[in-house]
Amino acid sequence: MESTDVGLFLVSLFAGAIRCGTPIAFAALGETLSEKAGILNLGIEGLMLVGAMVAVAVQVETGNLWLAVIAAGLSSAVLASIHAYVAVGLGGNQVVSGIALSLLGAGLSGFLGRPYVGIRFDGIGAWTPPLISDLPVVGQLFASQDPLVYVCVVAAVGISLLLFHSRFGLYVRAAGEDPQAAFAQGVPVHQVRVIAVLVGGFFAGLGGAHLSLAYTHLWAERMTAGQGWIAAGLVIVARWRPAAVLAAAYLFGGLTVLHPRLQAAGVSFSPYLVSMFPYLGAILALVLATVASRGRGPILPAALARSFRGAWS
Amino acid sequence: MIARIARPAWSHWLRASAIAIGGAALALSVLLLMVGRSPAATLAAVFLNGFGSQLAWVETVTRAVPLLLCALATAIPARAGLFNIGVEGQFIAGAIGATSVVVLGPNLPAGLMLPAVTAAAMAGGALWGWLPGLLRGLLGVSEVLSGLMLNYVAIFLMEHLVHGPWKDPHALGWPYSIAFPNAAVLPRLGQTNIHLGLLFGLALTLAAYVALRSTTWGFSVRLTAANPRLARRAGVRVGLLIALTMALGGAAAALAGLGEVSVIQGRLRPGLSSGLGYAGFLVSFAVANRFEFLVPATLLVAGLYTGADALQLTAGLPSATVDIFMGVLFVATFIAQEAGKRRGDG
Repeated sequence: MESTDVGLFLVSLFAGAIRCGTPIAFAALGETLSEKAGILNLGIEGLMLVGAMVAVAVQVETGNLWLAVIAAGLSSAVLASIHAYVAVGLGGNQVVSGIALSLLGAGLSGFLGRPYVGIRFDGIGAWTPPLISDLPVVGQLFASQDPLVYVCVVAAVGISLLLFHSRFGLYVRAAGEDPQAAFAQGVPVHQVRVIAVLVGGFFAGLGGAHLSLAYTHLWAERMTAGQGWIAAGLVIVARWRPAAVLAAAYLFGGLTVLHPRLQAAGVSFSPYLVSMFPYLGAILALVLATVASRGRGPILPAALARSFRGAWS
Repeated sequence: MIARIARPAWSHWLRASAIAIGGAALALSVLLLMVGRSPAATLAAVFLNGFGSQLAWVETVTRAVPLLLCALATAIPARAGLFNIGVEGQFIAGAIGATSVVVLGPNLPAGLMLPAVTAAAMAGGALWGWLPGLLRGLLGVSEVLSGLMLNYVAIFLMEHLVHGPWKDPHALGWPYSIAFPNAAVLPRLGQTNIHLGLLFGLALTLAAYVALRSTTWGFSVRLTAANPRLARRAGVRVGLLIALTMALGGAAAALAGLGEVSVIQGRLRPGLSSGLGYAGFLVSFAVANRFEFLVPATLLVAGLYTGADALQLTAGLPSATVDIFMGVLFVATFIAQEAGKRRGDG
């Protein structure tokens, strides 16, 4: 009996980790795409908040969950277009624009979301896709998750394929490594960067939608509580690779859900010191990536956060 | 090349600000109309509550002090070409440093208390700024990303301390440190919460302005911002300079943290900063990191926050209203600045 108890505990822990890590995974996947194209978007926190708020608003007003999810992604993409305009259109400062966007997103979602604070609604429920539950181990972890969890896994695979096995992905990476050379070779650098920022914003919105519709089942002002910044850190930890981003987000989700369970089991440690690990890990990964980029080929996009002021086509 | 290095002229900056404030007011008006409020009356109330009386001015200046110090923490490294996004963490590290003296050395003579608290705060903030500066100067690691991560390390360190080792033994369940004794609180002006940090901020602004214009060190800073390679060839120790300006910025932010923890809150507790570091960062960049504009800009922004807070009480508008206004204001400012630069009238 003992071993099945441990097994059940682990399965529920990992399943919880996946559920909890999914909003961050969405946002971090979007940020990976954007950063691969050379555009640092520090507005993720605001983008996630707008996504979470719009998702709840549309769900409450229409009762159509998929419409709510799509609307969340689109509205975050619209907000991200401001960043695209400043960072790409004007060749302006990406750091400053991103921080301002975070403030704006928090304000907009707080203001427009006020009627929906504390409102109950039918969120996204569990759903087990066919065949999944027959798989060993994976089946148990992924059975009866919500559909957006699967969308996130598919998105990670899709973005990975897109980045490393498609012409567009080559354009994205070229725009992020050496925009001048890419432009000289005929890559439409500006257009590629704009698309990457908008799609990145769309994914941040999906992350917000998963948070409010599937995880918390409510809207509250500033409910992301720093998850957007965590996403920015996890992109570094994962060294700008979508599959690793997904794993890092799940690991972070695991840390989050592990603590109350251990506490319930009588194990005591400071959750705050544990919460520091992802950030310290990100700094370490950043240092290693920077140093390694100088010797062997680049790990972090060489032109990250550098504006490119070339012509448009 | 010269034109790119040169900062925008006065007239350009004024025009960009006017466009930005107009744009922000317009955007907020649309939102207010959407929820059925009169934009003119609301905006007038914000300005009246922020600047319309002596009481309003006291509150506005109280809020402007930490904002000015955080803007300085951004502007000093920014003039060397760096983005100090870690102001928030440096602010908290300063508060932690100050509290360490109160918690670990409660029996210090009263006369030594304030100098010790101030020095510990500045050391904490300087360390938090120096770290990303060192990584940048030594290894070329992005100070933006490492600074951003260090913000959260500081936040969780503070949470750990007030929930654990530094928790006030008399605080049933509540996470906060023991109170600062009177000897460890920054002196304040009369009955107000305007504290010595105001003088620190004004003096540092003036010193930075003068040092940047007319000292060799100021010239090295400007040269490093314009062309690090040239600066290095001219004998500037660029790595050292980067770490130093970041540490200096961190110390400025720490003074804001010291004021907040000793005067405003009276003890270390979670939620100490609530984004002051990011606000200071945006204010500084909104005036292109020019020291001569920092004081008026922080007063304006602090006044808007004060006015909007009063609005929340009287008109029942959410506190997010001011965040929208600020967000649009900053975005519009950056757009106007960049668009002006592009037109070539900078």
